[in-house]
Amino acid sequence: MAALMRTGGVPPQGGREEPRALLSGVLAVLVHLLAVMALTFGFQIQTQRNEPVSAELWAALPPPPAAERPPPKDEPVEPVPAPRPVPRPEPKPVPPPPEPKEAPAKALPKVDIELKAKEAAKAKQAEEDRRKLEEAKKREAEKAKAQAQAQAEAKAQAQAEAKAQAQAEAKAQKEALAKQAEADRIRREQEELSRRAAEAAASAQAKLLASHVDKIRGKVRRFIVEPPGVAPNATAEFDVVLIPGGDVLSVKLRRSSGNALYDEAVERAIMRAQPLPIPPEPQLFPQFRTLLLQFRPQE
Amino acid sequence: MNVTQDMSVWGLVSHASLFVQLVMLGLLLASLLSWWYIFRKAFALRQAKADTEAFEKDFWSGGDLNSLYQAAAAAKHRGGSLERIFEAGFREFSKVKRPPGADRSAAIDGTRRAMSATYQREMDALEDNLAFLASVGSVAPYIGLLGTVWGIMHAFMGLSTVAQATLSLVAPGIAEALIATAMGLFAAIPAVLAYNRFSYDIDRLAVRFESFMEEFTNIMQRQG
Repeated sequence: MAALMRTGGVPPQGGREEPRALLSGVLAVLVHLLAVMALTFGFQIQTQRNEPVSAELWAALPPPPAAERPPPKDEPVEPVPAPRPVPRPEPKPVPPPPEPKEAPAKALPKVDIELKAKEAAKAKQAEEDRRKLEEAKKREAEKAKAQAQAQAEAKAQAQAEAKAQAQAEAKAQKEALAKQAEADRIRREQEELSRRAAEAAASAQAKLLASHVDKIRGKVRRFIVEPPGVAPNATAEFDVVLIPGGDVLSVKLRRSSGNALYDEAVERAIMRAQPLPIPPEPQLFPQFRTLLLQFRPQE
Repeated sequence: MNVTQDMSVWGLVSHASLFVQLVMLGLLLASLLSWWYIFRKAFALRQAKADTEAFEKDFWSGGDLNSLYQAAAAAKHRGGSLERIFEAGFREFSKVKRPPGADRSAAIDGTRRAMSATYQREMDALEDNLAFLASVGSVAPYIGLLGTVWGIMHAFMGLSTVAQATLSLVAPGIAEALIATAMGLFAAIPAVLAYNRFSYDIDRLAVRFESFMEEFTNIMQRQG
């Protein structure tokens, strides 16, 4: 029986080798590369946008260009550049003269004997040398002259510029002074105006305040039930604290009239007169928050 | 910490602390591996579906079972799962059938057992590595979160030494820490999607295999 229980052959295996393992690996790596690239480039664009901007701040311009440039900037310099082209044309006409004279000198020795020709040539040479020297001297002199002229011109120009600058500066200073004076005047005027306006406003407000306080007192007085035997000049002073709307928060006797009954009567009247007629403008209320009210029996 | 820090991804990764870098490395490996499995499984499942369809077509076209068995036995390691199930069942059946007059039901039972054994093996092969995808899908976000928490802890510890804490002091640390979470999610999301998709595909294949086994048993019974 044992022989029959034998199992034969290879053990059964499920599935089979996956042929695309390598391809899958390559694809997986590719997916990650793509993701990393997307991330990198996406972030780079974002970070590049907010790069810091650097700038150098100078308190004054660097000196060398400042020393050279200012004169041409000024307005009066305009006529000065005109003389500059003048020195140039002068040296130019000098070189042409030797050329036409040389041509006839060459023609002479051809006809005469050699010696004569040589002498003539020598003389010619000497003469030419002398002429050349002269010309050179002349040229140099001219050059020197031109230079001197140019220098003089430059000097004059510089002087003119300096003068113009000084003038301009003086003018600018004067103008600035005038401007400042004008500004001062305007400011003073404005101050005056505003002060006057403030005064006017203050007085108007004081008047308004007084009129309102009178109104309040009048209303309170209507509610006073005067007790008998009060001295006519007795004055009761009250500190009254109001809330917006005219209701009374608290009433405090500040100075008694000397008659306790009258004081009480006035206090009761203040309480009964609620709401007190305060001005309707809300910006005026702060002045009515605490009021000092005086009452006399006969008014 | 430098304010003018390199804020590119590479700069952030290279500035992270060692622990966070290790977490990132682990997540990268997990992601690579899971994508590898995803592609392998996708190819394998597509192949399995095509094989199954081809064999079902062959089987139900009314051909001779013997010749079908011969073909399946010859291509044992190349054919599809269904082919191997059929081959195992038919071999068992023909073995038991030999002694004439034997009990049919015993032969059918043997056939069923052989087929279900092969079926189990095939399912096992198909579901191979799916557990890895499931693990990556469920654990990778937590690992990334751990790296992030660690990195943020580091950033705030660094803050304790400075008198005035500004956002630019903490921001790079938090940014580099958050990369760990991003990587965790990057690894987890495809893994979860692939796992669900593959599970569904494999379930459908399993249903097809089981119904084939029932039908084949019926045919055996009729023949017997």
